Amino acid sequence: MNLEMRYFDVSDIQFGSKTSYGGGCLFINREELIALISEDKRLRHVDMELANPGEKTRITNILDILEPRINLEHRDYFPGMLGAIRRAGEGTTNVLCGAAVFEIGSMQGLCGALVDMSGPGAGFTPHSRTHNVCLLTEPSAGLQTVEYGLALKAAGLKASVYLARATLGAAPSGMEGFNLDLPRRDLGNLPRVGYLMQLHSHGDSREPFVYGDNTRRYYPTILHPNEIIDGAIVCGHYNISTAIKNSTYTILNHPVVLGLHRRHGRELNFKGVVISPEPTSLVEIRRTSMMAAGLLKHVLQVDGVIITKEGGGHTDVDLMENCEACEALGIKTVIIDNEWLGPDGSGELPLLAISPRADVMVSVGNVDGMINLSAMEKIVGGTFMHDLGGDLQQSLHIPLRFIPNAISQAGFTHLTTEGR
Amino acid sequence: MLRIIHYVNQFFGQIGGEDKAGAEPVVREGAVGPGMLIDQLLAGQGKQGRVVATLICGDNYFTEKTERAAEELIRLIDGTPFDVFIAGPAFNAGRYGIACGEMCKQVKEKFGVPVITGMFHENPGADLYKRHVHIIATTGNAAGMSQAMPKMIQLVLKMFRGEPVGRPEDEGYIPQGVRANILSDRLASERAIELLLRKMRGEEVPTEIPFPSLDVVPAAPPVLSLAGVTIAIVTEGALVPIGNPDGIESARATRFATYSVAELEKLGPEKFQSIHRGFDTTLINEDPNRLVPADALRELEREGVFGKLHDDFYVTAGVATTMENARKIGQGIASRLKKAGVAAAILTST
Repeated sequence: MNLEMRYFDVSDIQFGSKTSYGGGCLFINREELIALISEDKRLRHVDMELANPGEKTRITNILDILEPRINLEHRDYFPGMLGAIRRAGEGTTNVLCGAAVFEIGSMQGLCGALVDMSGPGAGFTPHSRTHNVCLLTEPSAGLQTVEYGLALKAAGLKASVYLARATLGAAPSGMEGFNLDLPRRDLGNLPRVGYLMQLHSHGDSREPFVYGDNTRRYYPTILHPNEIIDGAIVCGHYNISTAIKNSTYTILNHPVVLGLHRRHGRELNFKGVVISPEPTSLVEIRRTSMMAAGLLKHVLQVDGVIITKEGGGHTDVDLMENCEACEALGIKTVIIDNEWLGPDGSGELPLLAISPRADVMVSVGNVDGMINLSAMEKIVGGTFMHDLGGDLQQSLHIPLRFIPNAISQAGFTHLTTEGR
Repeated sequence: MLRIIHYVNQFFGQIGGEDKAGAEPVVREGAVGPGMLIDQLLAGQGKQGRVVATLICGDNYFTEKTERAAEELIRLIDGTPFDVFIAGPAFNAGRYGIACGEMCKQVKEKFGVPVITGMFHENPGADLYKRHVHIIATTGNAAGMSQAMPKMIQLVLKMFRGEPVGRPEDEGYIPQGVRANILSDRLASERAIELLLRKMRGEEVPTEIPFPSLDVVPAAPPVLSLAGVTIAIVTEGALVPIGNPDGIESARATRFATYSVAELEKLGPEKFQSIHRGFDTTLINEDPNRLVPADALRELEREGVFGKLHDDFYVTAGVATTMENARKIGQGIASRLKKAGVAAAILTST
């Protein structure tokens, strides 16, 4: 399977009369894009604002973040969600690097996130360094939370592909090939490594989509790494905290998948990814972990695996059952997890389960840790968030978990903890 | 220029020895005793600051009337402008250590200025206050004064400048027993890949997250006969009367509440709602009996399957609760049930 990513670096975004890309600048025809999103009658009002790195801007009520992309052959993206069903991960994909699309909305029951484009909060998220196209939406009267989430998702996906269309015919700033099919001699005795990616599957608005379907309808299955970084999986969570879900942007730029891919044939032999749902009962969890470990051992034939989870404390059970099942088959494991230690970091870690075979966990930080944010000149997304009190334009003292990828269960963060 | 207030006991404050341990709080202008060393050290660094006032209190006076002593001491400096507060060091003097810890804690809370003290790691004040304030590790006796004071000053200056406090081993303070969020120079994913490759090579690799020990509670013996037995319902599903009168938190709960089902045949959606943040509450809010099955238990009660449904049901929100609070809530509920003569409880979880 051969995937070529063509990167189109974005160093500026502006509204213009025609949506186009050139000289590192993305021009956006505001009216045209708003009209495209407004076709969805589930949305009553759609507006758009731009936010650039360094501005004294705070973006609030963020529900998902995406990266503008398009597949060159099919002229679409996100198969099964927006485009027709086809395999992701092969062909040519154009990426607007340095740009992002933000789905923004507010409703009781939806969990919003917050990004500062400058100041002390900016250092904790990669999205203070992206040029952000903020889609501001309001739900139609009577729209339920789940439907609103789906409407937001459609808006984010459509906007991403619409913007990436501007790259067609332009010259890329760089290219990267993703192909695991190396001659056997190049792989030699390199350690065979896999990735076990747990996907939250706790109901509507609380799980991602894989090729357009809810993860709760999946059993563990093998995906080629290219599929993950090329739009097969899309974030579908609207009512869980940003700290315990993976945004679409994070999945497209998945640091574990990219990290293993880029070491393939040099330091290791990347055999593939098993995605596995996180069911709600223990018997189901044991069944999925048995199956996931079996796929890794007997089909992919790996000797080591990185396991990540998605979700809250409940999913530590999946993490530990998966670890247990893999180690029992002789597969070495490293787990990535977040910690819950209270605002001052003094609490005991409430792990719901511990496998006696688990021995290495990488920390992506204390979800309860607090941060001071300075007052901002401009607010995009509203000065009110359901889960945060006060006027959001002012200086804030808030838990880090409101900042996307400050805590990242996929490992897309520099944050960790240290004994003090 | 940095204005420092320094706290010392009667001995270092040059009032007297053990016979003067009952000395009442006083304030002196400028440096006294070890405060001179503070002035010298700061003068050596280009006149960055000086001790503007020294608080002195007898060790017995402080430990016997802690609340009053602290209040009096704080009153003595209220109105004096200052930038940082230094106490001790107390070395291994227990009463002095407690006074230094308590004064630092209170001054930090009341004035919001950086505070520092120093102690021997076995000083009882170290265990009591290391979570709240930074305590530089010192020798057991005052022979270590010239090593301790520069470290205390260095760290408190760092805090004053708003710089992050580093690791205990680098800064010289007694570990606080907390885990701080810090930024690594590498992504978590990169660290995970490196650790995996090392583990696969057979190396002993460290875990970034220490594994907590699991607290296993042995199950109570089964109830052999339900005849005449009172059964209670306990839920972590956060079912509360509409409006949540007891303010049970939707997540990370710190408490539980009880609500009456006495004389109710079932729970109506017009009276009860779930405020839980960990699951989709739509179906529960349509029929609260699906979380707290009062309707089914009333029926079984009428049929004589068991004695009586307990008049109250017990509620908390079970989502991302800290271990400390979960233990406290669980023990609280269990002891209340035991007192009420409840023989069995049905725990509904979400």
